[in-house]
Amino acid sequence: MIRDFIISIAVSLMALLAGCIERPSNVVNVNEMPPIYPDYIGVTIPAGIAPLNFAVEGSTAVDITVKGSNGGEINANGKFAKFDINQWHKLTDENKGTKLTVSVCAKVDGRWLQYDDFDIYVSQYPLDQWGLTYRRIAPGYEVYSKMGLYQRNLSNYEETPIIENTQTSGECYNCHTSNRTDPEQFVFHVRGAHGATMIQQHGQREWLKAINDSLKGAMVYPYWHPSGRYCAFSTNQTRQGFHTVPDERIEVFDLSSDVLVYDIERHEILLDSLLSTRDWSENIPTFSPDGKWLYFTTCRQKSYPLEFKDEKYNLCRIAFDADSRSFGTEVDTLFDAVSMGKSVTWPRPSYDGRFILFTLTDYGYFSIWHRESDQWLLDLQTLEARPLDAINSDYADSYHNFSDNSRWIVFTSRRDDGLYSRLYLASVDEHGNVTKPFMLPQSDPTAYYGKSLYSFNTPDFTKAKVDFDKNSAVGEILGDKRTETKIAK
Amino acid sequence: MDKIRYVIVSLLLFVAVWLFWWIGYPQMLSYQEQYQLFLFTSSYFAERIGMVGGLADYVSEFIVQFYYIPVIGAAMLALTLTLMQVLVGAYCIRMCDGRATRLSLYIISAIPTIEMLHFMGDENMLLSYPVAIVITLAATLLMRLADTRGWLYLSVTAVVYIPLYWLVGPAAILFPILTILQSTSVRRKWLWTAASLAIACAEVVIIANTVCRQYPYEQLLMGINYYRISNVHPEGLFVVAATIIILPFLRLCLRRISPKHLYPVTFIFMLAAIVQVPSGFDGDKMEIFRYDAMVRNGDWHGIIAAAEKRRPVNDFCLQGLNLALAKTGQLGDKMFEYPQTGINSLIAKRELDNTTCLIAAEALYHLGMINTAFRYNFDTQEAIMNDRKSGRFMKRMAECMIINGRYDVASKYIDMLKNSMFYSKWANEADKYLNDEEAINQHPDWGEKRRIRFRQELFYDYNEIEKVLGLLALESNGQNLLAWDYFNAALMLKGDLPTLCGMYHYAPETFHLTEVPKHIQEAIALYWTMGHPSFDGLPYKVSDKVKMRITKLAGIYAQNPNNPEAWAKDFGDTYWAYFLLKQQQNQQNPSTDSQSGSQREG
Repeated sequence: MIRDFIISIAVSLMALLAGCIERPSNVVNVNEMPPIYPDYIGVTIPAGIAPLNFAVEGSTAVDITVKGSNGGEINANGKFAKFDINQWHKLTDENKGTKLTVSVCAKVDGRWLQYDDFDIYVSQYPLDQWGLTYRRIAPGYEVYSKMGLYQRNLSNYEETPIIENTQTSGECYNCHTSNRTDPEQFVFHVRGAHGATMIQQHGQREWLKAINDSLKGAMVYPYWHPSGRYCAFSTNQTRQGFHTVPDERIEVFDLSSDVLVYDIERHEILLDSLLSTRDWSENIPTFSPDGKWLYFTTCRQKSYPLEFKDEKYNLCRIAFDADSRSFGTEVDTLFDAVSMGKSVTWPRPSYDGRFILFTLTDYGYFSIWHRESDQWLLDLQTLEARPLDAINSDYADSYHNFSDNSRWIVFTSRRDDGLYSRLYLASVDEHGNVTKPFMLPQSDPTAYYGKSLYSFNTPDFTKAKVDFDKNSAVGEILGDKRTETKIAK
Repeated sequence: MDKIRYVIVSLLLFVAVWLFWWIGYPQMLSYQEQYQLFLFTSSYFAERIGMVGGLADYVSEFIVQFYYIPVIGAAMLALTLTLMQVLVGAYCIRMCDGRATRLSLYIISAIPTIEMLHFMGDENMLLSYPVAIVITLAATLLMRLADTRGWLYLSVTAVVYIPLYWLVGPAAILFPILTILQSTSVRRKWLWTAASLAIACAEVVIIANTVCRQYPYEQLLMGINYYRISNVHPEGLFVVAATIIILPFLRLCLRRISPKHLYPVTFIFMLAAIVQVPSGFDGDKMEIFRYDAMVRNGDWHGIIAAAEKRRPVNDFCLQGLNLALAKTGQLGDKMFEYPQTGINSLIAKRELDNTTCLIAAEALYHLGMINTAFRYNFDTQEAIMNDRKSGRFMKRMAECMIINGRYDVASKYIDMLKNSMFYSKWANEADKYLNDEEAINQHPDWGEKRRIRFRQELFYDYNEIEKVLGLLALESNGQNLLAWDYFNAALMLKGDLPTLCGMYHYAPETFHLTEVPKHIQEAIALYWTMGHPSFDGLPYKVSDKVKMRITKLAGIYAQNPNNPEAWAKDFGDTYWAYFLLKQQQNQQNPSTDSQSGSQREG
């Protein structure tokens, strides 16, 4: 193993000296698709995305050609397919709405093999987003080491921390949520000794006391009202159970939960009897893009952990009047999952108001620990819902969000190795048709994902790079100066 | 001749330090090794070197991986600490006149190393610090090559400090101080030392605000990874650095001492330093680490022998002992010969630190509670306070995933372990088993775990651990004898004698037992005597000796119900002593009933 290490360094140095180029010779055609990682065969991408670098499994060298239907050609040669960023951007821009054809020649067991070509489709829909925000954390039980909130430029591979817990005393940061992908307004939670809910608006930060004593727990799962004045939360008494059988791991259930809306201007919490019922758990609120509806999930309260498999949520909505700060008097059921014996979680409306993307599980709402979790799309015009087979996998597919123009989604999936969730992007057209998703590109995907012991979660698009003064924020976190919230009369 | 003497001094130090760790505290080496996973990959190197102090961390972790084999690890550690002495000695004697004074000072230059031994008794003190000092001292000595013109020397010092700081961390602050003090070309040394310190601090501030914004100033100034808890900076860091700065000045005192008295004075210096060393090592902690190392290596007889020599000092050691007794089939016969404290002395409740559950994680694995063993290992690895991963825990996690048939996850861990030095052989072997159901089922360990693990879906609940163990034992149809022993032990520790007696109807047939273990007999006899005036009709195999002893105990207890010493004297090795003592404690402190567990997990 040390010998291998030394040899690999020596080989790398020699390759460097030789100009890193190994050209194919005596090529043998194999009539099969190349075994590439990540699987980018047949995926649809936005123009301007970072190059989809990939490796061919079992190969020691590759020679790749990418040709655009509208013209243009780029090459990559080396240990894996690593494309020049500028050339790739030019090629995808020139081929918007058409496709790129990828020709893969790889050296496997000393022989050069020519695989069948495959296509990558360049969508006609622009991404119109700077990048992504997400949390990176080890998929643990009760303990986490280094973690943080990060942002990633989607046109290249630059990842920068928004905040990491190495800056404080090991706090947990979660649920970073911006208002319709605009980083001028965002919220996240700090958990731990210096707990708080942070709201930043136009560069000004406010740290709310983590728990209002009148509520059942901390405010969690935020979602902005499009006006930017309100933020919906739920407040949950969450517990965990740890399975003993091989195929299950963690179960999350709430002893109770309610939905509330926080008025940022007045520091007041708006409650409603229909959103904080005694026998039902209301959870995971989101506003409609016009701000007139509050979507949430609701479940008849059971005795947990005994009846954890009976924790099943429906998708509902209630009217919300931002001017009078009042809720409607009726709750509509938009999707009755319970009658299917299933449970709805993480509803996220498209910003054009046409769809709601949600996750469907057998029970519960913490879908990341449910292997059967799949993505479903509800058409708000017809109120018909269907599974998105093109993006679903055998592992948990969950946590999703739309891009600002509603033509792209980002979601997490454990399909890569069964435990560590990764980010995937897919295109959605006006009719709700989705394309095969592609894993978030990395400069060296095998090294990045192979060595990473982190899961990505709560991803969202961001219009621009998040401007967050980490050093001042750290002082404020440790300073423990918090704004009290009060219940609106 | 002088050089030979210096070599002999350093060689003696090396041997002493080597023996100190290898013979004296090998458990500390095992403890340290399990909190890191050095990988021979470029990305591991890049990750280390990409942060302040990264080279010191990289070298340190390279050395610490050898702790896996204590005799080699101790030698590597001794080499590092001896190198520190050699460099301190080389620095000091250059400024020193007189042969005898030089040798004396060279011997005394071992004091920072000896201090380091003392401070390394703290399990969170990392080798990165002495490594950082060694690199800094080496750079300092190299600077002598540039000691030709004062301005040139000062400029080089200021420039070299920046990369040195990046490579070794704030220990680099020794560099400007020592370089200026050793210079023959710089005038007004104190002024320049003060100026260089100011410049060094300014450079750190610039680094903190540009390329290293993810760490607070405090850590950048005091060290990110010299101590495992990043926001704690123990006095040892400052004491060792201060000693290195002060030592050269000792020549001013030594040269005034007559040659006749020089060596006795040197001896006194050394003795004063050496006698401090043991106080750095907490005896109870060392016992914990020793038990942990033995459990890790499956040295069951070694644990029992250790417990016979010295009673286990706490629940952690008792867990190790109980596991050893169970693995050797003696739990039901011997566990109450030792001072059991409650269910915590059998399996620890999950705590959010990196040590408390080390033995519990092992016990859970041996019991076949694979998911919970994975959880304990995963969270313990996550609890490593300097965010390192662990070869030990990762290997166990990979085994759990192999047993559970989650080969994709197992493969990820195995691939990482393949890049390590001491786990790669295991990883390469384990890799061959992936997706080979038949081979895994035939594997002596993994196959057995598959046969004895849980089949029924339930949540692990520490507060009802005896029920979890009971279900595990009974589900296995007599194959999981370890779980059966633990189940009985848990019932006894919790004082649930009705269930114990009720369940024991199953035992002989299901678990093919020919004899009832001694403590079970004692528990049965105790429960029987609580409701019956004689042993007539007792449906269990309880020996006459046990019956006679409990009768005798009943007499003593009746006379001295509130005097544990009276019945512990002759019956301290029985379950009865534990039961009666617990009962008494519960009566005195009903709210602190340790048998009923504490708060719910979740």
